[in-house]
Amino acid sequence: MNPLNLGYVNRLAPYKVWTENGRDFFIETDKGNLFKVGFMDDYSIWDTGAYQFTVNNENNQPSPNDVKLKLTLFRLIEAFFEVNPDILLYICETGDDKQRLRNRLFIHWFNTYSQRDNYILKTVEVMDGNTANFAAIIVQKSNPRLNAILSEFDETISMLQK
Amino acid sequence: MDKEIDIKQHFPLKVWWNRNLCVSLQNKSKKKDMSELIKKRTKDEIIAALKATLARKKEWEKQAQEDFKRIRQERLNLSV
Repeated sequence: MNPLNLGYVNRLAPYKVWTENGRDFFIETDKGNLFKVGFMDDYSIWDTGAYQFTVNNENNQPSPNDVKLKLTLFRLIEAFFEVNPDILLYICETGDDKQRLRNRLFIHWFNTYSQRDNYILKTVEVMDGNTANFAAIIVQKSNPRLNAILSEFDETISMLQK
Repeated sequence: MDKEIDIKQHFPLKVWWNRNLCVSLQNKSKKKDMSELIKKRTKDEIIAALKATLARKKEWEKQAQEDFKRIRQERLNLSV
């Protein structure tokens, strides 16, 4: 992954963002909660060019109404795509059975994001036994392989749903 | 710019070297490789890759919790 321009993020993000390794990013909210955001290599569908967007917080408490957090996360996503014109995947954590809520929140945040027209967000639900898994793909509309990527994603998901 | 290479000496036909055409052919070839890659993966292989990703994600989340504790401890040490 190409390194993100943290200067850009910190100029525009409401919360301060810092990194220790250039790949994972920390955010501290007004309430003092720490968040860690990462872009992990993801080989689930593609051999290269796909990353898993991961967010973890200190106390596992959701912050659905924290607009500053939402904006900061989207600034990081913008900075990611600025230097990595690739594919971002997001799988909601299922450990606490709150994946449906996380999925809804992510979609809600995306729909209220001012730059949403630059991206395609597609979310899917895949059942694994009795557990519902929610996954999302984010691709820039300007990606020259946009249609191929979305159809490859759809093909994979439909294969998993069979 | 297109460059005409006359290799009449070696071949009976003229050959045109078109950079754009070459890039386009390369892209088509790359695209074909990618779609072949998708088709090659079976459902079991995708599930295995997905499970591996989720396992790495769990490790990452565990590390995140360790990082939070470390940051808190560092701040505590600084304030003392």
